[in-house]
Amino acid sequence: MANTEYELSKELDLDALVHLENMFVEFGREDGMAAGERNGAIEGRVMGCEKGFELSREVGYYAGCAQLWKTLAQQDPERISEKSLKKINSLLDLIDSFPRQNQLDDDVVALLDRIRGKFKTVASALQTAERYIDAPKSKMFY
Amino acid sequence: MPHLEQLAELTGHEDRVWCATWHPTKPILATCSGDKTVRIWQATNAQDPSKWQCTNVLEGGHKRTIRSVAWSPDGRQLATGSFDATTGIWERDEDESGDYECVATLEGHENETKSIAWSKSGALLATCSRDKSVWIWEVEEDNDFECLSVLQEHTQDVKMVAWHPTEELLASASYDDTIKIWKDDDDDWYCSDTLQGHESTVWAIDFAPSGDEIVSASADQTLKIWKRFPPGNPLGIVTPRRGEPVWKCVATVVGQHDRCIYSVSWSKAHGLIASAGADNTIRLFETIEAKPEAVGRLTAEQQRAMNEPGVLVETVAVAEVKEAHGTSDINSVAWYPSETHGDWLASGGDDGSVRIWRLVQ
Repeated sequence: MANTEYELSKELDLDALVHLENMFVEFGREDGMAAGERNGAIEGRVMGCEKGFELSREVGYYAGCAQLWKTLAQQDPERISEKSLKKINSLLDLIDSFPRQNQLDDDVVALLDRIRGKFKTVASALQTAERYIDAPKSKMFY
Repeated sequence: MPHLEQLAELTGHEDRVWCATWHPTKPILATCSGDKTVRIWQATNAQDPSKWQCTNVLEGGHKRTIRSVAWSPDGRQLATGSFDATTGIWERDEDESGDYECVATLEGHENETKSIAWSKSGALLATCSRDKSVWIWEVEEDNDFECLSVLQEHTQDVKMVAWHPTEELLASASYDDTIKIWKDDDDDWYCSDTLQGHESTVWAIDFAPSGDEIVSASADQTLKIWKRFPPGNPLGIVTPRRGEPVWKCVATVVGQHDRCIYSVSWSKAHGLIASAGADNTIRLFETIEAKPEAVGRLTAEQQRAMNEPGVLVETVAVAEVKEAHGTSDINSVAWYPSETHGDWLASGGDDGSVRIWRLVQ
């Protein structure tokens, strides 16, 4: 083997020399693609987690309010009318229909808008200024 | 040729006039302004419509500009929408002072309320805001208003809401360049159609007397007329949602106004359309069926192929008043709502004045 190497290096391969730069660029591109794919997948996953966290935190907030209001309505039907209770229930139904798994379409955005609207309707019926305050920025990093 | 003659100029507002609205049955006009007040105007003598006086000033109800004002269909109440995010409900004390007092305040919008409208029956009130939402309120006893629905499908500032003249059908116009049609399904309101075509903000909308057409005014300097096509319509226009009619543009008025158009009013008495805006001109249009050779008219095959009706209506400019408020923008035009004084038109502008015009045929 040593012999062949010696012979190779001895022979002046002009072709290889001319394409040397192109070759390294090509190697570099391939390495970059591989690294990018790996990092991109991680970055995408983290981003997805963050977005999912944001969405779910908001829906969870509405769910908490709605459940509490429903309990209050059942304990004190004098204060929260049947009509308001009906609205609370339809808000809870909407929240229940919110998917717990990852979705590949953007229907959840429209659904979240409907939940937001319904929440405001209920808040207005109960004469409370309760509203969702945007979550603090996620502490996840990469 | 028909033209508009000015009957009166009403002064008193200390800032720009945003909206002028006629009482549904009486010769009374309500106007609102950046000076945070509403003024009520009445002809001093029913025989002589050139003399008007301000009978009431509604003050103290709002902390910021009052952007719009609307009478309830029975004329008993007045709703005001303000940049302070609230909607005020006012009632006249008929027995004693004759003053208007604020009997309810509707809160809920996050910021500037832009427009308000009562449904024909008076049972519902719609409000819209810069917060991109449209709220529908149910009018209950004892001046109680209950929010039925919050609709957040517009992607921008909602400029105006208008109810269908007979049905419980709401239209809203927005800075997102679209008009949306809203319907009720067992207390749940949903968007039944989105009208796309304007290239800029849709500032104003009004229904035709029949309710089958809508005229829209836009910052793209055009007016458009939209027609409702029910399922199984003779033109064969496809209605994508089962059982739902679809609205399609059947006319575009181009090259008349050369600035933003802010207001449009479709007379319920004689069918003329009045429009005005930043070009300081009030224009009147008549709508007629488009002639077979009209530009944009489609054959039956083209209609089917494109699923568009093409131009079905021609708009004929019948009159104009240049510099109707001097060099000021005109924010509002409104035809008198019934036959009694169907030839009256009110306008309000940035100069703070309100003018009353008469259509002379």
